[in-house]
Amino acid sequence: MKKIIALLLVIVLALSLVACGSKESASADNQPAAETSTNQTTETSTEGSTTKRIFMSAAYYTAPYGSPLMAAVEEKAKALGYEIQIVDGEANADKQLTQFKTAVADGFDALIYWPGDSASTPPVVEYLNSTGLPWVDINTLPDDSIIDQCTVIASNEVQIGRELGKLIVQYYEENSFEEMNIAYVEGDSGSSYTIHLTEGINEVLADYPNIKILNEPMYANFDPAQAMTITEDLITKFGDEIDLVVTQDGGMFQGAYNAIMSAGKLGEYGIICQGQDLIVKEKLLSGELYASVAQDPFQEGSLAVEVLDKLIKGEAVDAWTYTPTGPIFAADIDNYSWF
Amino acid sequence: MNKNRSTLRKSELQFFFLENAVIIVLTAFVVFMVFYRPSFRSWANLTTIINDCCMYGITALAMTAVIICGEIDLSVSSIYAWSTCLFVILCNSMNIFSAAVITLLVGAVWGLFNGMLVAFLRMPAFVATLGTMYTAKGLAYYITEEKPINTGNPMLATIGKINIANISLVPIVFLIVLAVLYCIMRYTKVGRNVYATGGNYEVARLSGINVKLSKIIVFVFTGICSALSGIMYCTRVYSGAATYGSDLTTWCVAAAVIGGTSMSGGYGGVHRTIIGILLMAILFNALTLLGVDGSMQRFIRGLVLVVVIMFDAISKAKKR
Repeated sequence: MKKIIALLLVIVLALSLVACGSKESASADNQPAAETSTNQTTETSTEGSTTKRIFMSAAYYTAPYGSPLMAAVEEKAKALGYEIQIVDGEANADKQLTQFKTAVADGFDALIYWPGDSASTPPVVEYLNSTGLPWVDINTLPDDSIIDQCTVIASNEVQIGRELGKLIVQYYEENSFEEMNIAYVEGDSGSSYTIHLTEGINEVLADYPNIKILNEPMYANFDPAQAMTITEDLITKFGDEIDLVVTQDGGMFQGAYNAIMSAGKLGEYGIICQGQDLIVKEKLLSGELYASVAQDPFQEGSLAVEVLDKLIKGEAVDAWTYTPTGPIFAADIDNYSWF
Repeated sequence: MNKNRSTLRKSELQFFFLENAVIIVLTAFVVFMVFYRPSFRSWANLTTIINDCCMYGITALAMTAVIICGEIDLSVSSIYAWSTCLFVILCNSMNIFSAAVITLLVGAVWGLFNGMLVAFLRMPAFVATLGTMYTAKGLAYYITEEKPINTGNPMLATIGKINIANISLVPIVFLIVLAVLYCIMRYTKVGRNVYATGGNYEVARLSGINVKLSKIIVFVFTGICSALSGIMYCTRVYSGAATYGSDLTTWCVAAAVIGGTSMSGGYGGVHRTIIGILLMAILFNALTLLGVDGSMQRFIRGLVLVVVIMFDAISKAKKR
């Protein structure tokens, strides 16, 4: 008896899937997903409300930078009269591809893609373009081979690196160092952000042979706790040789700052970072942080929806809309949003 | 007498619902989605679910065998990441079939290494595979110079685009692995030995079963399947990175446990894991269709896992 009921339940499940799927499969079997979804988009628009729906897959949903960025996307989308759904792509290109396919099948009208890394973007971009829906890439740059097929809203990451490099040079010149040694804490070894920032810094420092990065690449994965451990290790290893500590974001700055404070080296080492975190603002004001470099998640999120709105309306947009960047000193803090 | 019969039927019914809780929940959930969200039943969406779940599903099947053998393999996510890197690097310098064979062989070596540590050095699998997890991940970072890499190998793109009625190559490979593993576990001496080893190690050993070999075999198979999942991933995204697949281990363990395989070993089946795989995939898909945001999705997925394990525990208690 039990086996029969179990079997029946399995059959119900199978039939639900197959029979219901086959309703549309008869017409959709030989169509690509995109065509099917386009039909459904029309269906949703005509049957349901006329509010257009935007779907966003965010690779770094839980990153500190992600929260204000997604809040800005939501706020702007609502202000422009769109419904918005944001899901966690978990920095997994295949998962993001699946999410987009699900969203397209569900009749979303426009898409926002925040990739986890550049290398895995080609098949996702190929799919997004095949849907015929308006979409934008945000924050992480697509692979060079397909960047011309995308509408990008992102910082010029190499430029952020250059800005960091310029701040390092400015600190070097202001303090009249003969030689200056840097302890450098990087983010995620695989991310384009980390790679490009380092590229920008190295580009500037190439003209200053007396400025030296002491350590081999050390990755804290944008994690304050890991940044603290790495900085502690660097202080133990290099001690007074260090003149300046540089971190690639505000979260890691917090970890590095705590390590420097624990070692009693506050004031002895200069500190420079990238970021607009509240801790960065606080330490800029107190003078313990020399300067930061802006990459504004609020502007980036807002810009993405503005550009997407234009695409939805069929207006022309730039292939790459840059998120503004530049140095932030204590005197400039009122000009920026903080998170 | 009648009262006794009725009490017996009631307890049998209770036991039945507990025993089949996952299938019942899954069926109810599918029926709900079919009527509540019509886009769920579209062929495009159904094939998206199938294509998606089979990639991790390949490793989940092998993980089930490891769990039945009374062990666990925490290194699958790293072997998977390593395999994506190795396969992409090889694809850039040779044909993809040779690249696939080498990647699978290296996956088998990782598994053999795990198996030797557990079987001969008697290291707890948790510790041994934790070490391998870091080693494989570290090597993956090293060979890629810590950057994601991709390949323009045209054959890989061609294979990646193979599909029949929108169903890609991955579910076909999954079915082959399922058939092979099912037959081994169900109809061969090797499979029976794996169950016996997981059920009671000492009794199995004293009965003359080569328990060490059983352990080595399941770890080798898991290494191969992790590598195969990695290769399948590459056919979809043409890239490899040391950071990929970080959630694979937990996903596979969850799928096996949801499917009804006992974490204490000796009980379960690779075919049961299909239910776990389907539940995970359908839940992930449905939550997106229902407009649930990312944080809440994580919460619900965790909650479902806890509830299912709770049912499993209650069901076992009832059996006793």
